[in-house]
Amino acid sequence: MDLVNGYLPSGTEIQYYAICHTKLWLFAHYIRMEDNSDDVIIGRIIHEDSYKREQKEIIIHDKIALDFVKKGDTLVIHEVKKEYNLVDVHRLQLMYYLWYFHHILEIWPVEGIINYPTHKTQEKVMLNDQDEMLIPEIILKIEKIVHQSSVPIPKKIRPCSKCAYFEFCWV
Amino acid sequence: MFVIVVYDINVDRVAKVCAYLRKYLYRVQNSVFEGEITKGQFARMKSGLKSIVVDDEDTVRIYILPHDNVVAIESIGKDISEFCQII
Amino acid sequence: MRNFYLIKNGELIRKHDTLYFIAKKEPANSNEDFILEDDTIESFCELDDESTKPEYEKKALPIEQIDAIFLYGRISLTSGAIGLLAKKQIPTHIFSYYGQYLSTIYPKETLLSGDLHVKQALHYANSNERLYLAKLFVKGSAANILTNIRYYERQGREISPILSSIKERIDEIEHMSSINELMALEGNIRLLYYSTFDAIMPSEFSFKERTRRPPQNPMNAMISFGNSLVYGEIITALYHTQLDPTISFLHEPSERRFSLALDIAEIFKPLIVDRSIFKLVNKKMISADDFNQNIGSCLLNENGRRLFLEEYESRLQTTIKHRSLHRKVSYKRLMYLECIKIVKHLLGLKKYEPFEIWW
Repeated sequence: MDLVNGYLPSGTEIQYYAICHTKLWLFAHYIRMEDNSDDVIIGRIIHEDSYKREQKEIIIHDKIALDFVKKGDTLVIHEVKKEYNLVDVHRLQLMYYLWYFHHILEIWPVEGIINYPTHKTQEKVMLNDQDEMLIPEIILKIEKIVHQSSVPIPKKIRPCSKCAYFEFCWV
Repeated sequence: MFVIVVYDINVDRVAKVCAYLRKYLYRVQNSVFEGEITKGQFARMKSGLKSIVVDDEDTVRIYILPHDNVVAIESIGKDISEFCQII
Repeated sequence: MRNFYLIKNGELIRKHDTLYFIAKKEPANSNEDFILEDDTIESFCELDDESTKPEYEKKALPIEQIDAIFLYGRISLTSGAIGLLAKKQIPTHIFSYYGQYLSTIYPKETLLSGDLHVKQALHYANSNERLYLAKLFVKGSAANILTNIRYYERQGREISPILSSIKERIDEIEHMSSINELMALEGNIRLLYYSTFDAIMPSEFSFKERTRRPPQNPMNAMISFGNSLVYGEIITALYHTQLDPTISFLHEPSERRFSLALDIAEIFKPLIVDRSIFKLVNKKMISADDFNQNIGSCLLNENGRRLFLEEYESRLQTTIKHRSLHRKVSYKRLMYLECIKIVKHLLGLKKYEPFEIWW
């Protein structure tokens, strides 16, 4: 991909981009709070408990952590999530993974599925031509945010109350 | 949150459950533990317990209270509660 | 997450992936604690849960609940215990026979941010930036000192002249042009503050003057004991942030290993240590019997330590409604949040304002 000059965000950064730019910047600069968040811990445990039989956590290039994959006629990559109300955020993350498979790893075809074990539901993710164009744009935007010298000023939004950075932003 | 955990566990595993619960809570009776715990720790503790207990032989029952000041605890006879921050 | 304070002599071991503290039961009225060389501790590892040796007590410390451990007794740690503490990222603070801070078994740093590290060092190296922060530590400390003695002025103690002197000194903080000047002013404020103690405290707890290493009377013994607790508490808080605990602003980085903890502790000593002391003394919860008085030194004995720690710990757990978070926050958490506010200052996100108590 010549569109991006080498910079590739991680899956977490894609998610944070879709939620909050302050969190994205802090995370990228290793100001991390995730370890003392109950919600993050619970999310991790749901993930560990729900799919014990499947092969677990495949990490690619230190950027992408696939919760598990299934090989059949097509490769299917799976994400396990807790909160169904962030489905757009999860969708973007998986779209990025699909794009990554296509353009960086050059593996086709790949399908994505988001699993919500606590809600017993699944969400299928595909990448259309429009999305293929969208991802490089988002990568550029993320790169710009991460490389700016100052932290984006926090804005109070709905996810704040459950965010691991809540105290950081509002103290 | 404040939890009270009581259990009936097959003798083969009871020591294991007891030792495991000690990582999170305080033993107050032979098969009763209690203590203040965060939601994250609680999720982790439950997950760990699930991997020890055998479904058709063991029972673990957990009473969950929002905070330790909503519960009054009295004991009669020998108090074997282990809760102690200053030893 | 909570602190555990081990004041008895004993051994800390690892068993079944958690920690156990095994202490020798003291006879009820023993005043012979602080045996400097106690070789009577055998290996306890063989004791099972329902201890068969009645002279020993064995307590499980729930490993997942431990924030930090404070060691006051003569305690040996097995390598298993040290390994578990490291794995669970629990700092262990060690104190001397006199209750002075000695050292911390500091687990490996996992929260590191190169970017913040550079910014922290630059703030130290730039004399204006450094002085800016240093003044705020002094201001915060002085404001909390002032609130403490205002309370006693309202109660009718004869301390009004000193109170106005302190106010005048606080106004001077802004005009200090070097760290040395600022430190001198800070010392001055503290002297004025201590000079009110004899008007606030009953005569059997007469303070006279600040004495350390070792403290000369019960008041000094409690101040030393409490201040070192707060120092340990802030080291724990700093461990959970990306700040480098060795780069400080008011104190020189060379003064102690964790000199940033000295800076931040200044703000909390009046709130947590001094208020604990005032309560213990004025409510007659502590008495001369809780100290070991010798010629040239005075120390809290085991019972005294227990009383002090109970009061201190209950203060740490006390919650207040945080003004900007609109959430209940304990004093313990407040110390962590103070560290976070410094991170935000260093990142240029929000100017640091020290915590000033409003009641």
